[in-house]
Amino acid sequence: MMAIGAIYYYICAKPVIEKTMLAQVVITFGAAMCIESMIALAWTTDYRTVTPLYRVVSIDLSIVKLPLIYLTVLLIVFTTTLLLYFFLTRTGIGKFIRATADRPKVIQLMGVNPNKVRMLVVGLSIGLAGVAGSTISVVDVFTPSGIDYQIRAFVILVLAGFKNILNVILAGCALGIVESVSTLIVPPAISPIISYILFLSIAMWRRKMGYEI
Amino acid sequence: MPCGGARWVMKFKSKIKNHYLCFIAIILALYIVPIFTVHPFVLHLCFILFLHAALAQAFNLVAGFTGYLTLGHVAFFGVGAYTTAALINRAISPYIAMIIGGLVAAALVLIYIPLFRLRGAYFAISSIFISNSLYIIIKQPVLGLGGSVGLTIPIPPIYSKVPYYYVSLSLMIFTIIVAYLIKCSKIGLGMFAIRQNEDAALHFGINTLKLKIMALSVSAIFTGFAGGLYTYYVFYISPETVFSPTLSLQMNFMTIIGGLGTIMGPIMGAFILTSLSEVISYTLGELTPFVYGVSIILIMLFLPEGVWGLLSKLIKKYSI
Repeated sequence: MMAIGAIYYYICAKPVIEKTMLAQVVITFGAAMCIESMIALAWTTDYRTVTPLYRVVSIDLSIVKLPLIYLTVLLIVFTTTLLLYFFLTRTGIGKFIRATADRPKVIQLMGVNPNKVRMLVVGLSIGLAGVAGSTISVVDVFTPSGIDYQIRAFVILVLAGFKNILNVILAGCALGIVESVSTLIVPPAISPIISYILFLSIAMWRRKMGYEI
Repeated sequence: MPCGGARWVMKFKSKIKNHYLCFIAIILALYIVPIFTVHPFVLHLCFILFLHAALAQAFNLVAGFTGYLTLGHVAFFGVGAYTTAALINRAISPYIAMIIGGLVAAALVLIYIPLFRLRGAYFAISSIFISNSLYIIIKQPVLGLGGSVGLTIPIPPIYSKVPYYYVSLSLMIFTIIVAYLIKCSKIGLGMFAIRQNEDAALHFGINTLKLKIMALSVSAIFTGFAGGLYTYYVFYISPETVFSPTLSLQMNFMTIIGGLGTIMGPIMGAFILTSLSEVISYTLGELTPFVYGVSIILIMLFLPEGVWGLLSKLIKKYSI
């Protein structure tokens, strides 16, 4: 997945990274459309799921029964996020990455090639998306279309604020809890609206408080 | 701005006249097409082309003029379509129903007013949220709008495609004229200032919120009317068809391929992309979204000003 990310960076992202927001958004949607239709052609648009052997196993804790599969996914997610956190804060490359995000022109004077750093970051992010995709495949059904996950990722990012890795876990948990609990109050069909409203209010609050969103 | 300025007018007066004459000639030629042929496929293709062109131009009024990318523009289309269908089912004349549909779609702009505080990708994502929320709400059977089954409207006893041709053509021409008038006026200058740098425009005393609302409402009226027209053309709507995110993306792609912020660009983009997808759906079938995606990436990389930008450069170079 990381190699795909690097190729993607050189084809699509590098020419527009200095340009307007609009070009970036549009080109990303175009690439998503291409990839989606290629996947649909190769593997058809059927709903699919993966059933590993340990899917039906669960651990009995007398009060609740924990399915082993959810525990595994949780473990994978926490390990990946913690690894990412330590990679970005404790290693030299992580320092370069954060510096590139802050001042891409200055880092060039320090002898770091921002293009290579960005390639690494885009590759890393697409690789992580791949990890997320493969964990979703064992717990949920999936189709070639992934716009729901994209929107959810954006909501979580805004909830957590940028440049905050550990907050992302908290925000993800918060969104999950809100989505589940809101089905108690409103019909399940309209529960996505609750998360939209949450996103809008948080985004506008951040804007009003003068944060850079 | 190229449209204003006495010097420019003096310099290019003869050229402008030629352009106007060309435009009027093309319109007249289009108006007499049904005299020569009433072949259903030709009229259907023209109807779809004009409808898409009008939608792209309406989208251009927001995204091209003020620079606010609304990825959920289909919300207006769907609201217009549902209003029209509900009114026609209550035995109201379809044309009045379409106009009311456009006005109701414009009333939807009220939701957008607080969202104008957000910028860039945030505004784009929030507009997706609005269209998605409307899709979910309309799907609820409680509202009496057919739920996820959709609404049907009665087919008129005498059915001909010619009136649709004229109405869609007039809609397209009307959107072109309105876009031209806006671009040449002070309002248009203000909108382009917002697109360049909103904070600077605010400091120059431009009421940016008012201009943004104005652009979005005009665009919403056209999009809602187009939604109503579509409803009266296919006689059946469902939430999946009139709130489909694909339609929003199509509007985006048509406008961007033609050229954002130009008058003729969206029209050209709509013609190119719609005819392309008609051809592809006969030959390649399932590859349509792939071709859409590839063409938008190529245009973004090599022709950031769109096809119309390239054409006008060529016209200037060889001073045709």
